[in-house]
Amino acid sequence: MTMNYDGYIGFKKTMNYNAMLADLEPKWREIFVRAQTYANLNGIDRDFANERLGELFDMLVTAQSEDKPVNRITGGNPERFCKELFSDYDLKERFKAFPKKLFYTAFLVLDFALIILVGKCRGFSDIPEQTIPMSGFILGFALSFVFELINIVFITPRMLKSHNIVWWKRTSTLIYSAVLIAFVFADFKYNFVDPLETPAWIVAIVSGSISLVYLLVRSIWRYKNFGTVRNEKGRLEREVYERSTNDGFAEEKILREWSAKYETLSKNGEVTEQSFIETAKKDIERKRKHNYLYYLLFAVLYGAFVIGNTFDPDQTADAITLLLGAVVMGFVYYCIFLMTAKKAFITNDNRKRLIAECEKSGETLPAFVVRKMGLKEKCTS
Amino acid sequence: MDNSQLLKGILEGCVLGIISKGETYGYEILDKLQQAGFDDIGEGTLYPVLSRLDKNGDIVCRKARSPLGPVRKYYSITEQGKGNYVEFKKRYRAVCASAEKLLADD
Repeated sequence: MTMNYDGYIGFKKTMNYNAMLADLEPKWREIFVRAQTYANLNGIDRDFANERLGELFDMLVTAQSEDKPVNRITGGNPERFCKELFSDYDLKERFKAFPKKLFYTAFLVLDFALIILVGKCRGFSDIPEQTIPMSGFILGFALSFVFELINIVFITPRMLKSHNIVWWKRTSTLIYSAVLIAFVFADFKYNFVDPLETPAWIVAIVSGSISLVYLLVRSIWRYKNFGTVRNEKGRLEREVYERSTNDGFAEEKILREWSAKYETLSKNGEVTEQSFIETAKKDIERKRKHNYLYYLLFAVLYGAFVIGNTFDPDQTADAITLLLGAVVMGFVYYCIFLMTAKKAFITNDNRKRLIAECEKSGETLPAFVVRKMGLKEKCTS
Repeated sequence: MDNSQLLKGILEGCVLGIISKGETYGYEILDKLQQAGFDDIGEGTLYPVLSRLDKNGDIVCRKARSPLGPVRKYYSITEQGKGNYVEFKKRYRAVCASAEKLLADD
């Protein structure tokens, strides 16, 4: 039986294993979740763990399909199995993952510091007066870590044998994020502990410096290894991954979309087999504009939210502060934009690539779709 | 006496030997090891070995979709790996010959 993982695979090259777990029988699922739990408890870097868990998953699916005994994979000792599976995650690997984690944390703190500085300052003279209660961050991270520990040790093992494991994995991630954000903001308002007020400019400089150093070192490393500061390794891996695994925004989904659309339009006599490619091209252009409009709207809403919550309409800011504010807000928005918009634009790029491939092959688009998907049923009129 | 130290010494060479015969993947490698009598080898032992061989440059891997759906890593040997495998076989035979001599005296 070939399992269909469409929609199970997330944006990044790491797989959404949690959704795939539903395809494993309980005895195999238990091995996978045990290994995953081991990785989480031992602080193994997500990319490293997912690489290894991906291989484990393939092996479990194959062993399950051949109806092999479980100890064929675990060697009879599940605890030792988990330890061995990640035995090469040594100090060097752990050390390699630390800068990335530090960067993400510093970047998050920098965003908060900049929003406070830009939102509350009316001029440069106001900057030294603005402070950030650091206790909120410390409390938020500590409490969410405690929650995650309780989840991994007590709750997840109880979900192992039930199909709710997939639902719980998604829900627990949301709860974890909500706990973190809620306690950060709640502590800002209610001061559960000593606020540890720290000048915002110091927080911004320290977190900004950490972020800049990380980005600089990463750029130098990439240039040294790939001849470019762009994430070539990540881009190439993603390309290979998308093409080989039919990622949620790679070929198969697009081909299915065109197949369904052609079926509907041709039945209504709106397109012919030869003209369908022009319809698809117009769709691509329409989606491109739609994506930009959507994120422009998001920018307006985001800007309104930030301005509404930070700027005091009774006071006027000098031009430099306003400009600085615009630049900072734009930068933060751009980062959010990068995180959320990439998927939509990449999907459209994939559509363009497939259209180019179709034109090069000389086939009509419906015939191209059939060939690519290996469909047996006729897709042409 | 614990077999694990003995196994550690030869496992990389054995895995390299399996891969030298043609492109293969983790489950198949494990299968061949177990067919050869390495019953104690589990997947947990195998993947760190593959990772080390990959880092050393003895093997390369490519990702592709398996027939059952998940992403699978396919491993093949490099020129360096072929050279190291030949060296391993020489050293292994030399060690075995010495050990046989010693044990035969008992």
